[in-house]
Amino acid sequence: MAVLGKGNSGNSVLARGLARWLLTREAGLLILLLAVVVLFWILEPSTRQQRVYWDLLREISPNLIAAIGVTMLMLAGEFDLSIGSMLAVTSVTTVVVFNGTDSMWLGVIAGLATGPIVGSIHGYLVTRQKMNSLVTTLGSLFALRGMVYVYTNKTPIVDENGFYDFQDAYYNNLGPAPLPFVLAIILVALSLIVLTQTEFGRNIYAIGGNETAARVSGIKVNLIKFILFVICASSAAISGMILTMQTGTGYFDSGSSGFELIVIAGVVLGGIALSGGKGSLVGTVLGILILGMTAKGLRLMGVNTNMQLMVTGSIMILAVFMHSFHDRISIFRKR
Amino acid sequence: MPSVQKPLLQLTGIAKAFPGTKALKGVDFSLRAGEVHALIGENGAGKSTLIKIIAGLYQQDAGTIEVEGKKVAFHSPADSLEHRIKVVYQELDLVPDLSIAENVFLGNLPKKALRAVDWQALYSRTSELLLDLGLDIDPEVPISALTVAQQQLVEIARALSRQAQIIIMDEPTSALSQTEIESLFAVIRRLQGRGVGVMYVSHKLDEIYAIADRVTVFRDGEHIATEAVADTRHKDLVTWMVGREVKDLYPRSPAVRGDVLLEVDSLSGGNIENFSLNVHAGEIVAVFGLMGSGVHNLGRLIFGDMPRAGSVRLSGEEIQAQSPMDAIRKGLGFLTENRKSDGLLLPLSVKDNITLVSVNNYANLMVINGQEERRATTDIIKKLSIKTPGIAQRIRYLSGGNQQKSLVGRWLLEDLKVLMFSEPTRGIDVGSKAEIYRLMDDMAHQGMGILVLSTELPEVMGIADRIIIIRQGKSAGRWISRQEANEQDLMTAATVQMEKVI
Repeated sequence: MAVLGKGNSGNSVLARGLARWLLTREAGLLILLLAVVVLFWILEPSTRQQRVYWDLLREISPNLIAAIGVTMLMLAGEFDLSIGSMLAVTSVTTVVVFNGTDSMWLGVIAGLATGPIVGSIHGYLVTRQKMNSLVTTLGSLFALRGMVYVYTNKTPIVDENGFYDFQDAYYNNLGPAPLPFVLAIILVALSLIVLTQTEFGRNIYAIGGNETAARVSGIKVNLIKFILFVICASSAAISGMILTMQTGTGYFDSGSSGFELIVIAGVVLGGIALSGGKGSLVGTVLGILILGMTAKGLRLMGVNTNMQLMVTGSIMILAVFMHSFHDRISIFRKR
Repeated sequence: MPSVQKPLLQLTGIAKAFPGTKALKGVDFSLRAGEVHALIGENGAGKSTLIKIIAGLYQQDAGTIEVEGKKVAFHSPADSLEHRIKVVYQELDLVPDLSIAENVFLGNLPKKALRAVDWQALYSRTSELLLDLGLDIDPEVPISALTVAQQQLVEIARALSRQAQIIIMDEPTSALSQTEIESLFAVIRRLQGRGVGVMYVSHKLDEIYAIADRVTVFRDGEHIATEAVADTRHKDLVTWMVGREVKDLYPRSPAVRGDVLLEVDSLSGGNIENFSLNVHAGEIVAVFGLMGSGVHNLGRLIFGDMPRAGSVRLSGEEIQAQSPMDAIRKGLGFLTENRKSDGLLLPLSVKDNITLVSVNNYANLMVINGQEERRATTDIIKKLSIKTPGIAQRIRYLSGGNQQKSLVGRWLLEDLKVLMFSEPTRGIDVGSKAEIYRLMDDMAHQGMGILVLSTELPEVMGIADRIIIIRQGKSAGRWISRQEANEQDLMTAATVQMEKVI
């Protein structure tokens, strides 16, 4: 187990590396994902087409992007439950500005700006006023949704200009890959670099690992948390933008069917500890894909939604079981 | 009744292995009625494993446990409690928001008809138990309002409420003041008088002489010796524990005293009032005070982790209040007293813990150079001889001594002028203690200034060039050198009214 090399031959080092990797959380998740894919491959012939997977990636992109922010925030030991309501705020804001200014770019900018605004409010309340983030963002989950309902009177806002460029961005591809997914992958890659290769990322893990220790090590805990709330709400705003592209309308109920819970479920499934400090963004991506693939497969099989809930829930429990098993064997391996 | 009494608790040939390590390799331990039997050993000697086996948390791989001559098997903590065994852990397992009485009878509340709680009986029985332990306090008070010492007595009352005949105390004095320790010992003697057997696990050898009848030493999972305390010399105990003679626990050699580095002037905040001190290059200065004297707050104030009044300068430059970051940038480091709660990042690796402060030194254009970071970590691990299977090991699995060395390493990677140690050796074994002191001495010789904040008198006297006493947040006397200071004077200054000292 020594990291300092022991001068083994190349082959056995590779084999040992592979064996060690197979015991990681991510490997377990990847195997679970492949198992889900293979299962549907066998059960449902329509999943044997490549197109299904590209569609899946397109549909799952908003979840992936929102999950980036949620993951970073949870790694630092904080929560944002309001991301579902954020989707509607972004969506409605974007289309209202479309119609008011007749400018696509102003609409997009205004829509995306809702992220940093809401995130700053959360960051201020949690870091300055020392409010609990779970309760604070539960509050804004209701407050933001209510605001959207009041403003729209529960009527979808139609894009009067019909900005087709805007809608095309959702349906267009770059090579074989759907554009939203390309964006998601770019954002994931950037975030992964930030989390694993920069001081900022290291500090996020440190804060989640032990906030006091981080503070007395000179880390600006409050500033970093503030930034994370902004990142989280902003990633939700980007998700909201993508969903708005999909329909071309400002939809008051966007994300109201438990978007935040599905994303958090994916993040937790991916192995991010609720207490913070533990887990990786790669796990999150796999977690979101597992849930997305399961839902898609079941839908293609024509399984009714009640049954879908049951199966998705069971897969989550299976994954959490896997994690706790993994934790137990890690203790024995002392790594 | 036969005159030859069976021991209350007899452990024979207990072995326990975890994948990769043999925690216990067939050890014996016995406890007689009315006896205090101390168990000592360095971290990793197997003391905690043995306690957990007795408590029913682990099952032994081999060996037998007998209670009053009868062979027993503990499959769960409930089995152990059934045999009237109670473990008082270092980290007390009390519910802070419940009352004393509810805690004492937790899981065992007296009941009236219809299983309703009999509050009257609960409070009166708790009062009796507490008075018996010399604690005159309202049983309806919540645990969170008590001092650590009082909480410990509540744990003992809990044991008595279940008629415990075997009480195991795991490092009971680690957070107690001198007077609190005295009263704990009085309670232990009273328990002894009633025929309770007490297994006393500790690091502090002085306490063993004060309270124990017999002492058993473990090392690396093996039983080394069991002797009557009266027949054992201090030196023997240390040698048995460490496996070699520790020649010099305090390797302080005078260094050249340079310019003044740290100047603290009229510092106030928390319970600290108007405290001044300075530390020169090449010097080890210690502030000694009892628990609650403010000695620990002093570190937080100087470092800027608490709001303060007064000035703190490093090499003449003022350090901003409430900015640990500014303190670090100007060359001041701080090792906190609570390793677990304020120092370590438990879920993270040894490497991430060591490079926490200095990680920006390995970054080009924001991106961390992993190779350089690993090399720096490996260097520190070698330099401080930190025992770890690798830099990716989670720090949680290192021994206390190696964790503490990693935290020292965290600061050695920075270019510091002054390093403050709050309780530098709390809860670590003798061997690691000597190494930490050696490191301090080295740093002083390299021209750094060291400030030690401690509640342990032998440590302060052994390592410091100058000693400052703090009592109730105020300076209560200063001693220039180790030769000048004696234990009694220092203790008097720390406890008695200030006017009498000066």
